[in-house]
Amino acid sequence: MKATKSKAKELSARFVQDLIIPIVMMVVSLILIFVVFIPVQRDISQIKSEYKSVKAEVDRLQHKYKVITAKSPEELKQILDNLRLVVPDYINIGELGKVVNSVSNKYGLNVNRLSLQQEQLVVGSKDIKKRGGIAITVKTIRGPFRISGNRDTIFDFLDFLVTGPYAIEFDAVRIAGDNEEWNAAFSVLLYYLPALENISPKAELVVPNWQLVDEVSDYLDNIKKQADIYILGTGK
Amino acid sequence: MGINLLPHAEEYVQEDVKKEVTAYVVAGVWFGIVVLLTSGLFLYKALMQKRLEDALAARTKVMNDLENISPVVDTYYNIAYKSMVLEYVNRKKYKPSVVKKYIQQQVGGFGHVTSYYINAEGEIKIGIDAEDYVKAVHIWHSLLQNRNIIEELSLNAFSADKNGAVTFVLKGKLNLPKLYQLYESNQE
Repeated sequence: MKATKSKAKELSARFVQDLIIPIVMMVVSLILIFVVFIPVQRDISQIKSEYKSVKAEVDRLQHKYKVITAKSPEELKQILDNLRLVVPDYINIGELGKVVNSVSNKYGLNVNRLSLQQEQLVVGSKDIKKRGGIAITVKTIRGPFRISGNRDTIFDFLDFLVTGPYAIEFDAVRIAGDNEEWNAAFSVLLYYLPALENISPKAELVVPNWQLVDEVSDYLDNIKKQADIYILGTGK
Repeated sequence: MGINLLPHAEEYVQEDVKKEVTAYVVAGVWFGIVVLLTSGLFLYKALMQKRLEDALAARTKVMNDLENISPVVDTYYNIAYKSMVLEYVNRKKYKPSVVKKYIQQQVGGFGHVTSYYINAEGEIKIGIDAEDYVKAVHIWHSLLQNRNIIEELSLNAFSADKNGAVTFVLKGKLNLPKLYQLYESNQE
């Protein structure tokens, strides 16, 4: 009888050691996994991914700040003033006529026909590209011209007009004539870009084509020496 | 010398004690690991939270810095976009004399160009006078040889006078990039 009691006690002690403790450990482990570890781990993943994106944005913005402030505000203003002479914020329709006329005079040619009209100011607009979250609309003014003169001079004149830094291109160029007298009828498209204002600090960095900017600067320095060439926006 | 009458029972108790101790040690170690893991996890979360807060503060700071220089930012973007417009127009620009030179080269002494027409879409029309039909065909043939430069070349408005002199118009689609490639390779 005594032996049976002791055996039962032993068994109960064994039950506690062998079953209760592991079961409690397992249950507590499971509760901890589902109630604490998984939610906390989920929070950590969220925080990590948010941190990653914020960090990337900080790096991007810091880089942008560094790039923008690489040149002094005065230097940037000077560069923009130069660029405005070739891609103005706005063009008075008559200015296209002045540019073409001054260049044709340089080549001894005369503009025979000119039909620029104020209502033709914006004949077309083109969304060049959507970059950095800013949609820019480039506008053009178009003027049909007609000139006459020597064939090679006409070609030189057209080359000069188009190879300068101005945002000019031709359309419907018709050059015809005989050995002596040649006529050229052409449309000139001059592009301009209204000033962009209040750019969001979050806007993506757009790097200017500095080589082109330098070329414009050199060209303008050169052209300013040629008093007979009209420079856009200067009124002279 | 005493005789152990219950040697098995004693061994059993010893084993039980051993097992109990082991079980509690295992439970203790487990508890320690759980505490360590939990506190480590919370510590790591706090650390990440702190990092995130620092990054957010850095973002606010750099945004404020950029807002403080907003006129400079506007100037910079105006430069960038104006240079982009120039780039865009430069891609479309062409020198009319390059077209003239190319046509002259192809026509050679076989004819005389009387008119050129080119529009923004690259459509080109060339009016040519030639002394006779054979020379006209020769000009057309030489322009056809380089199909990359003027594509879809067709002969139009062909007429011949009583002396055999012909007038015709060649029409096609000018591939300016290819023409410039040729022009630049000829320059070198």
